[in-house]
Amino acid sequence: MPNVVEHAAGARQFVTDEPRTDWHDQTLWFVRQKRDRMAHSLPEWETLRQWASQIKDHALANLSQYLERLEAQVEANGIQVHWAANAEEHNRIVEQIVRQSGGPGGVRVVKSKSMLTEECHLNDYLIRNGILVVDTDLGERIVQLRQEAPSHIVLPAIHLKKTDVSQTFARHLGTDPTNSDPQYLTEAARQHLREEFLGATVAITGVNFAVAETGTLVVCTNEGNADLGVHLADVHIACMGIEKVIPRQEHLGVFLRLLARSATGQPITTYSSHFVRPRPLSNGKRQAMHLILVDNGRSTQLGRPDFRNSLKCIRCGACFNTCPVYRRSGGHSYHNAVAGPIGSILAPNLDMKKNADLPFASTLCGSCANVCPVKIDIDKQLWLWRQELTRQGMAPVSKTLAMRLMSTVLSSPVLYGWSGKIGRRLMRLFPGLVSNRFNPWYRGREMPQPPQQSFGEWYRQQPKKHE
Amino acid sequence: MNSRERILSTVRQNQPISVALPLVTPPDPVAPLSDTFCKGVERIGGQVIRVQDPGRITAYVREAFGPEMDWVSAVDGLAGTRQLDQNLHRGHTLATVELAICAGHFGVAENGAIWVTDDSLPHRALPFLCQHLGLVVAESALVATMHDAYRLLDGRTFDYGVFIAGPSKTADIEQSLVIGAHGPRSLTVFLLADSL
Ligand code: SF4
Repeated sequence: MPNVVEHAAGARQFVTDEPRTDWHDQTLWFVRQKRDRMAHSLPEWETLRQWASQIKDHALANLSQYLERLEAQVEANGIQVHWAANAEEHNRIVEQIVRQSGGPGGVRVVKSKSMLTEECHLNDYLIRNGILVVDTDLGERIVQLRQEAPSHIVLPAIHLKKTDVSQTFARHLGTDPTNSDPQYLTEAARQHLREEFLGATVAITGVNFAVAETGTLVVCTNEGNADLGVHLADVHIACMGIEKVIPRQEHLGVFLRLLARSATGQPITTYSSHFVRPRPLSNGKRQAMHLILVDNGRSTQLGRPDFRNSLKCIRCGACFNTCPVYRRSGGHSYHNAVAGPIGSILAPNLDMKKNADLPFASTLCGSCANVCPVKIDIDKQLWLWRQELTRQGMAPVSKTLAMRLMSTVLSSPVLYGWSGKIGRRLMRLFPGLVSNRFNPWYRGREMPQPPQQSFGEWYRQQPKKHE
Repeated sequence: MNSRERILSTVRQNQPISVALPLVTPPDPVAPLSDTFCKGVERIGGQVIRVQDPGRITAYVREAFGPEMDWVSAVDGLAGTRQLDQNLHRGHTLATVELAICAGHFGVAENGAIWVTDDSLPHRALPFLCQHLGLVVAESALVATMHDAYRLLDGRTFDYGVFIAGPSKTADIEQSLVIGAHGPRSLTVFLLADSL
């Protein structure tokens, strides 16, 4: 596995700073609680989730028709449509549009948050090709200046403390390194990014929802950075995965009620912007606007009945905030643009070998499925991926060796009874045998006191009442 | 085959059997809409000023922001201290606007959001670039939920529209809420009383 640190190793590194791990854990749990308060304040919450799930099921089942409808509608609205089979093609298309737009002053690109462009590693690509791109979401700008990846799809800099941000801004924006007040740091970023907005020629955004019926592209932010970029630049490039299309405008009512409540516990994001036709310019012309429809493995995932549900995801991040593994291992340990429980289902579809460890980075507690606003059976899919990966011989070796031994033992009643007895005795005599740091399985667990007898032995000694 | 055809044909091949769309029905409103709306706006960091007619807004601005305040209006029948070009083609000049007051079509009680479209703005950037934003909305133009909002929008065409809910904000640094991220640092909603 070149250049990829397995999840367990990444997690081990993350937990070395204990106070920081606790802070990360508690902060995300606090966001989860805010989400709960919002959910509980709406009596129709479960109905909303049911609707959202059904709308997405329907949209995926008719995806080709809705994509064609969207394309026709968007083009009729004066927006140019491009199709990209994979990340490379997407990046090439963006590069071409940016180059064509180059005025005498050169190009300057601003980008608001888009997990798709993270998935495609667009920034790296553009910068390698000599095009400067500035992320304008505050959290994303922070991690960009630090040359890191976002660690959470909604809260990109949640792995950092304000003192880290203060150091970063002092180096890059010239702020006072002894001042780590969030208000002060945000103000500095505001001044810095205003310059970028006013100087940008191209604005790139993601798309939260695209309405097939009307061609409306909806982008949600709290900071207003998507709008500031788009309304000032000459060119707007909107990038979306093909699964983002929904049938009708009225369905936005369902999704916008769920999205921010699930994500951060807000009733709605500050801005829910609806782009239909490009901005008018002088002499009857309009701003150049492009929509790139990206597949990058989605059509393949659609063909896997066990995993197609993952395409319903609206990227709210609720499954991250609730996940006991994510909260204590940090987003970077997932070595994928989308981390957390949903990322662990999406990643093996993109590259099974490289991401074979991710479906194992879960306790299968099912909390993710309980909070998911579109009712994705995340835990079940993680479990199914484990089986698939094991069948394909790609499961992490530490898991498969033990499992092979286990299946031999479990399939023989004699071996099972005997091994349990030996095990209990050994654990009592040598508690350090299991509970030691050389046992990778123990590292994530606390061992209970082994009982004197097994359930089987105990049961045989009980007086038989019903005979 | 180009990418478009390849994507569409794979999707066509892989998409499962269709299921019906649900019938989406808005819930019945519980409290009086204007109470819920005002609480909603305050909860997201905005403030509501009830006014009898747009003329009162000028006096309020002078009181709240001081007589020196340089402000622009994009509301019919309300004049700011600075005139804006009717057809601004570049929004960049708006970067110096301290306070802009714009017209909202309707408000949503459940979340305090207000629907604004570009046909009532001199430029799409105005409500984002100004340092402070005011939105005028009529009390008679409140709906209960987002479902009702989209019912209103059904069949209406617009080139660009946005639900604005409060001033711009971020919590990207240690989850501490900071009002005034890139957009307005404050939002004042002028709720126009129903004319009797
Ligand atoms: S899987 Fe569900 S909970 Fe997780 S990000 Fe997607 S929509 Fe949100």
